Amino acid sequence: MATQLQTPGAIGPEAVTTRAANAPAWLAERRRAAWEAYTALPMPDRTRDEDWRRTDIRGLEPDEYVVDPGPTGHGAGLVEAMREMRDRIAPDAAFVASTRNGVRALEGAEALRAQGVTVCSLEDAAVHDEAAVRRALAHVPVDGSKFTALWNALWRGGCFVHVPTGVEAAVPVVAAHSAAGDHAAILPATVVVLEAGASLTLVELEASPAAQGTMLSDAVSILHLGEGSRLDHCLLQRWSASTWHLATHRGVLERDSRLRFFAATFGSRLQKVYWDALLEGQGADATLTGVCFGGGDQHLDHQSLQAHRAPATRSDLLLKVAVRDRAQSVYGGLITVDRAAQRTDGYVQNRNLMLSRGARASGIPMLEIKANDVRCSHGVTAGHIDTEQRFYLQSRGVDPEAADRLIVRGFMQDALDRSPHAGFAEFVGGVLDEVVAGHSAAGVEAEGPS
Amino acid sequence: MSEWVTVGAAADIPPGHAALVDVDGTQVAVFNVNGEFFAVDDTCSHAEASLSEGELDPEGCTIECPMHGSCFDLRTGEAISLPAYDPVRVHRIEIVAGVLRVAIDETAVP
Amino acid sequence: MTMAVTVEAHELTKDYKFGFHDIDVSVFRTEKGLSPEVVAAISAHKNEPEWMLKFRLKALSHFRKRAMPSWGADLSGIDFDNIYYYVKPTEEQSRSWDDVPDSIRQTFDKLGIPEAERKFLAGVSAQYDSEVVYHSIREDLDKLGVVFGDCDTGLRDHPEIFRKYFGTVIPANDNKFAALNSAVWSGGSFVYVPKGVRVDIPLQAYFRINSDNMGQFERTLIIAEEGSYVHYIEGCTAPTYSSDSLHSAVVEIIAHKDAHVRYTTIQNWSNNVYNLVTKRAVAYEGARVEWIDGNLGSKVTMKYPAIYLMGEHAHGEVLSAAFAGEGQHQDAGSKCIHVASNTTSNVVSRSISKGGGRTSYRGHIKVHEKATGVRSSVRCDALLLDEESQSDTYPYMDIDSPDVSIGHEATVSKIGDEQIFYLMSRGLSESDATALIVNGFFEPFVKELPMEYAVELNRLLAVQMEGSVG
Repeated sequence: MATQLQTPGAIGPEAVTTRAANAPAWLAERRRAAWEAYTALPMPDRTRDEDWRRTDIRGLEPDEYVVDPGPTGHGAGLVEAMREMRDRIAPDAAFVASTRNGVRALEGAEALRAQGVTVCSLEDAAVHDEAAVRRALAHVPVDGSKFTALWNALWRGGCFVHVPTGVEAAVPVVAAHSAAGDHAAILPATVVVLEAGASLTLVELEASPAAQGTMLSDAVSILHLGEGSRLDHCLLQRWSASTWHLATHRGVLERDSRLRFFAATFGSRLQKVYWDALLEGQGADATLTGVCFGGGDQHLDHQSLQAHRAPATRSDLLLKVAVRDRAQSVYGGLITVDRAAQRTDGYVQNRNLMLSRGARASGIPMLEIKANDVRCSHGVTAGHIDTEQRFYLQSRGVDPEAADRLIVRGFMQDALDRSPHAGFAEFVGGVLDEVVAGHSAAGVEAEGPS
Repeated sequence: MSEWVTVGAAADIPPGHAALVDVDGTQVAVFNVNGEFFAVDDTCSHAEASLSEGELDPEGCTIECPMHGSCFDLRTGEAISLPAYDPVRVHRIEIVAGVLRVAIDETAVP
Repeated sequence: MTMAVTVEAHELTKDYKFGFHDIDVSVFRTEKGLSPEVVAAISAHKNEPEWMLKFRLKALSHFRKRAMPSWGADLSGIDFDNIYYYVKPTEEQSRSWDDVPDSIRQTFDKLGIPEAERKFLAGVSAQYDSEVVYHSIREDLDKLGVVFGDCDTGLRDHPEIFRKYFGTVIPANDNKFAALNSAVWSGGSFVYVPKGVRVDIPLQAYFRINSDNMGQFERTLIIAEEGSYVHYIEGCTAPTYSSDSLHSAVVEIIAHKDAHVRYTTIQNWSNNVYNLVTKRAVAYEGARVEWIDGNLGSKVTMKYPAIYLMGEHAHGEVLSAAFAGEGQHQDAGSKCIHVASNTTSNVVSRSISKGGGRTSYRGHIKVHEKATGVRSSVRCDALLLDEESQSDTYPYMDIDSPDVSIGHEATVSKIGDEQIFYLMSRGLSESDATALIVNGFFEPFVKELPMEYAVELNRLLAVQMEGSVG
């Protein structure tokens, strides 16, 4: 394996050099340090790493994947597909679309710019808003883990939003990431910095066409919420069924800030995502919601952390998962409460619905509580679809497929109701119905060859 | 039923010894119990452990998994002690002119 | 057709006559530390058959090869080379009454523990015997064919049964501490209940107490034949001083078709003890196994009573109560493995931490992919009484079958202010109010104990809670 000639544009030291050449010195150095860390760290291992015990990543060889494809024929098509999604979800939103070749579209941001909001690629921000970018990147250290190290070394394009003090962003921002082509690797980057009292709605879209060979996505979103700020963050994952998807979505909440996060997961062959809500300031509040549907041979792994580091903080996570065929869902959720974090309220609920034999779900919610004046609870349930419900619907003339769709919708509805953006909830509901009915989970209509 | 696959020379596995062989992608543990050969799935039914690295008891014709100590009967594949409870598959094995051949039994209950 | 036979319960009174025998320690003593020679000497001293010697020696080699667990409590304080693995020299065994910590002496006072019992529990006297009570119960048991003795005797007098089951539920290499126990085990109980026999009186290890049975490396094996019932109790609520810093017991239970076994433990070791226990039961068709597990003492306890539900309609229960005070870590939980269909399990865990203590619940529910109609419920509640204390919950679930109904819930909180105010408005002091709430919190556990244990436990909790309100 190692003796093969490196594929041009593949993950490797050359890709780092190219990016470093176009970056300010501080960023170039960071990228190089990250690459060092990436090569030094071993791949996660089921026997050694507790949080990878139920997710088998053997078979992924990152250096076979191409981050710099050069000109491709499909970029415009991908951007158009993302734009259409933006039109259906939030037609008024600003639109920032990235492919492997960087930011390919940046539209609809005039109203935001008039307010003093910065909307640009992360690369541009590294030059023009260095302080804010450095502050944000500090939340994802270059050597934190194998895949965040890789991200720090090789992210490209990306979406950066910086909302100044007291500004309530007039329109949402849609940050779209898309790629296509066999052995394509994309490293989506989204960084949001909200100054004190600011507010924003962010919609992140991750999508690729169905059945386009294998793909690797290594994504990081960093959300910094200043004092008293509010962020509504919606995320839709619709990678093709042959994509490896690794992601970290990390929110750092200062005093009295509020995060409402809603993520819908449909795609990828194997996913390992981390949702981290770090409640650093007193009175911070994070609501995290997930809906996830898996079928075929998908392996969907969600890991969450609600870290209560200050008093009177609150977090509430609800993850609803439905799996069928041979799909597997893995969930690990940790609530930590530091000694100083008195009067914390922390909740985790994970509900799993299995629609077929062969489908599996495991949920491990954990608590590490060092303060006593708290209210923390978690609950996990796993059950099968109620055959009586199915019979009832069928006896009323509803065909089996539609019956399952209704039951799954019913199961997911209270999670969908928690979406902070109505248009997003409606869109996701539609996708859910389609996927349950057997349509592809991939978010882009397959076109011709890449 | 699967084809017979040659895995090596019988003389390479003396009595009381074991070998790990790959038979068309399946990891198989081969044991010599006082001159008689047995072949079972190498992976323990309980956890990711290799039975070919376990302890062979020629008297009882059992193999003890090195990870948690469960014993399996090499004739039937049955788990004799916890924490394993599912059997391991037993595969057919024969010697032809000093050469060991194994046929994977797909129909065996894993 | 078999008929269930019952033993008439004898009324237990506290008016025993105590006898003190001489212990025969002159015959044998070992050095500190562990080696094949020590293990062989143990086996020779007990006159064991060769298979047991081989078992012990293999276990020793497993113990040496295995690494310490990378999870769980902090075990770095265990000094394996500084332990006597069999008989301790007599000089070490007795302390002076003056050396017994005040807190322990005061607790004895408050619990009304009889004097001789106190001395034994405090390690001042070497033995405590309730031979008289034990013997009268034995006659009734003998008539029914029930065997209740120690494992050494079990191995000697019932070799076929013993060998058939020993090490099949927990093999020597199951984990590092099971391996240690398998190499140097001594004492513990052997219980065999024949088909259809119901033993109505709880069998208590306390009946046969001597220093062997309160030993470091007890091994208990309980076999309940088809349709039988037995309740076994070990430990006691009163604080028990042990000079041994490491206790590593193994308990294996086999519950055959329609059998019912309840195993109650109340552990209150002094807080120099590392208490690392492997307990596992197999429940066949229609069988029922209940672990009633109380952890009050020790510096560190790691214990996860397990039930493998191997036959249809088998049922497993784990009812766990833990109290961690200053310097203590109770890392306890349960494992329910549903292999057969239509099996059920129910786990209830209640824990309290105060004064910097730490309680952890660590559990595992697993459902085999072919099992259908499985129902399991886990409910863990933890109370933190002050700012220094800590609580963790790590519940693992591997649900490989869709035809199941599994629920897990956990809460962590402090005692609600409203509850305290309400009780105080009814005339209780704050510390009495707290004690009442704590009693109520442990009630699901306490109500499953035989009455004298329940009474003692409630008194003990009251003692522990005193001074908890600053």
